[in-house]
Amino acid sequence: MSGPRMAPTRLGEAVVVREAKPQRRERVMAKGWIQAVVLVSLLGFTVLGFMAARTYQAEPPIPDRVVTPSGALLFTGNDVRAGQDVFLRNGLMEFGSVFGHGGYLGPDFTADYLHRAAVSVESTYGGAADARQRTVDDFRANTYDPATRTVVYTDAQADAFESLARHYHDFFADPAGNHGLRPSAISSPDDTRHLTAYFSWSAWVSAAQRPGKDYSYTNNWPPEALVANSPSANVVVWSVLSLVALLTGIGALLAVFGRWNWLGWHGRDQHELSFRPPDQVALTPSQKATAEFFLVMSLLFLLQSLVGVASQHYRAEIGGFFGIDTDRLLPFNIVRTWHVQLSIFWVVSSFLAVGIFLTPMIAGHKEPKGQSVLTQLLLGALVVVVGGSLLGELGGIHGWFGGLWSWFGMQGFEYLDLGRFWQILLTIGLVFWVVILYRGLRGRLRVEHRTNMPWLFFYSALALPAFYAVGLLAHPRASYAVADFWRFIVVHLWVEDFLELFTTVMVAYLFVLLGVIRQRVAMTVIFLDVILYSSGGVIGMAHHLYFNGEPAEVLALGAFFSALEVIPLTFLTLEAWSFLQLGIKQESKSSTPFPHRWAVMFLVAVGFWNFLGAGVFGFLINLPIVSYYEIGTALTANHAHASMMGVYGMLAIGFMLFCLRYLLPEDKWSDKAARISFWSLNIGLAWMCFVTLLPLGIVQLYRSVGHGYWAARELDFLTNNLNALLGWMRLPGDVLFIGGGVLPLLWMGIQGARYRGSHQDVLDDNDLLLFTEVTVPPADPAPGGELIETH
Amino acid sequence: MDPEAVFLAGYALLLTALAAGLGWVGRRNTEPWSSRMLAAGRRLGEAGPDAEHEPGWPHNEVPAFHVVVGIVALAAALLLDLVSLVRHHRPVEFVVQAAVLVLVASRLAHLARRYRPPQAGGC
Repeated sequence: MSGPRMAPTRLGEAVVVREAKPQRRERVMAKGWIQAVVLVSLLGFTVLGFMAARTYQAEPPIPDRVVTPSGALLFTGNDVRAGQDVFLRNGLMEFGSVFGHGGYLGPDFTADYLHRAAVSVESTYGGAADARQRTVDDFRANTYDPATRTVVYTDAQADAFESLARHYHDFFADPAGNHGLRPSAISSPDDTRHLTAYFSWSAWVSAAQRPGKDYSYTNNWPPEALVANSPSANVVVWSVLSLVALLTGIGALLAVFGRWNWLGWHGRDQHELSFRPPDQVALTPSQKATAEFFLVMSLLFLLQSLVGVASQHYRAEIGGFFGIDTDRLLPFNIVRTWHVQLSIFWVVSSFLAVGIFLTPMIAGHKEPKGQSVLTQLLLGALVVVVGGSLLGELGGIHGWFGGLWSWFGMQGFEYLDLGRFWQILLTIGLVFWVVILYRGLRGRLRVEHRTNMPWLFFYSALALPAFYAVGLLAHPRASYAVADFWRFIVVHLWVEDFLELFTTVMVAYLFVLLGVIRQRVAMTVIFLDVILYSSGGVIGMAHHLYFNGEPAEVLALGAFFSALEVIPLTFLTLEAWSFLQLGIKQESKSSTPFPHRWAVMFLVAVGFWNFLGAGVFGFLINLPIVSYYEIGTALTANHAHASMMGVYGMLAIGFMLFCLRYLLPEDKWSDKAARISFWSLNIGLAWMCFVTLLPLGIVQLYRSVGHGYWAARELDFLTNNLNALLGWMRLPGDVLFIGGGVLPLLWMGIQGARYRGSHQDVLDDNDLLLFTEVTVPPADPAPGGELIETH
Repeated sequence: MDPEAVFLAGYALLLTALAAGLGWVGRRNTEPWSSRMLAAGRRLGEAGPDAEHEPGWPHNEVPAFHVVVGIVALAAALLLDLVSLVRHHRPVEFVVQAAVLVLVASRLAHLARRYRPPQAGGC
């Protein structure tokens, strides 16, 4: 090793070493790889910037006034904005949805209002032959005057509005409840009228044609025959073109990869390793402190599963939980909010912990003083943010925070439900985590080329707070299309791209540190991953924005590029290119047992669910023409569960087991607990998808195409005999998932926290190594092979 | 036939096909030497594996994992079809659903026989 870390013992020489400019290790990857990554990223983010600009330019207008033909005021733009406030602060986006985005139990209020209003208008016109055409004309005519910022409703539409204001008041103020919300959830007539104004505006946006176009602001979504809303040409054409993009992309990549030996896999390596038994690997104080993270993580996972069961139970038994009126204390919107937020919290807890755990191993030397204290501070802050935000959301729907609801209560956007105060604290916490990593890595970063693996690890960590912070632009007072754009930067780009990148780098590092793959091979996979995922994933984010008021070009870009997202997932299946397949066996042989059987098994599961959950179930709903009918149905939930739990959940658990293998003394480690958890989680998740979510989604899709989207989302349909039956049949899988899957992890988390102090401390840098070379490895064709140089 | 019975019988068949597909995916060799991406044209060269080469750990875990998930899919199909049979059992419904039931059960038995727990891991 070179550089300041090898500082001599005599003070004078040490000063000389510090003043000398450290020699950086050579770049491992060829320039072409780096240029390709920069080019793809630049292209992706330039187009993303274009889409952001178009979002602001082409968002649907919120009129200052909506009036009748005689000039009587129905509602104002401020009423619409106040309605959005009521919608968000009461957590209605976690109950039902607008523009298809939100919870799955309540109706989609855009489609619901549109249908009810159209029925009312047609009835007003007498239901005769021309009544349908007059109804269509009323809704499709865009009466918005940019000069006066006024929209004119016909008298029939105005009557429908007044009638629906009464309907929604009765619905939200119902003292009996029985629809998943707490009884008398919103009883103020002003609030329910504002809500009606918001729903009415969203329905107007959905049917009124964009100026100069023959389709509405939402590309004719939702499907509604009464107002002639049917798939626009863009929806159909870009569905076909995205299929062409997918097939061409797969064909091209297969041809390219069949031609060259991209990863430099020339022959079998003959070098042998000896994995160090976990109890002989010394741990730093901060590594030991991560045990508490894993305890917290498993507790949050248990809580997330329990509230998930509670939210699912509402679909099987809308009136309560086995006779208990749970909707008074824990209505559907609160348990679903917690379910969604906790899914992020517990996964992120694991990622934060494993980042801290790996840092001293990557650095290759003892950590600076105070790392352990900082780690514990971070955990404390995480607990405060999680607890505070969850309680805030509960208090938010009860109106505890008055005008500060968006700061401390329920901010209300799905996945960004937590109040802004907690959101800012969480962002600061992520920055604080990066600082902890930087302190630990500083010595190593100083001597590495800025494109080498330690820097990649640092960059990928840095991206997490940076892109989570973008969610702060999704302000409750922002218009829906704008807020949704920034929201999906977090939901899609942060989760699906940057968490994916960080995951790839961490898994690569795990295998490099274990000596089972070489640094150059690992880096090639990381660069390939960035290129393949970024070429589709960054712009493909727009597939969430097909129908929320964005212009058609955003739909086109989203459809085309999100189809490319499936290509790397296809390769995962057709081609052996994941880290698992890189050959733990082939590239190294060891005379001692591999200690991470169950961590690797969770990676096997990740590969599987990436293919089925993200690839198959994701592509199933990705085409605009499919999404047009299915958005917000159980098919979306099916994809979300199979990919979020199947990929990120399994990864988080794999990371936890990797670290616990070292944190737990040998006699406290339980292969049996890990095995039971592994099979229970996978079988439970598969059962959840196959027995309930997938069939329910198919039934909903069928109804949406046959009867209209509103019909697929109405509560009476969702709780009918067949759907309730499908809901009940999920029960054995959920019991197995929690009892056999989550509880053993919690037990292991408790053991880890209890025995973490019994591990030996790091005395010298070699104590941190996870393996030793038995034989001299063959020459690496690439410069800078980390393992070869180090050992 | 009642639409619910038609749907559940059809869905059971879909899950049966899915289980077969998973079996096919699971049988694919995940070793680096099987990949054109990793080995390109060299995989058939001298350094490649011989014909009788058996995948080592963790690659030998992959088929078993797919078989277990396939078994879950078939068990789900069996349960759904059985519940549907209890709810809808007019003659035509009975015949169709019983036929699906037999098919699913036979595939389930076949898959269960194929399940071989892999040797415990280690390099």
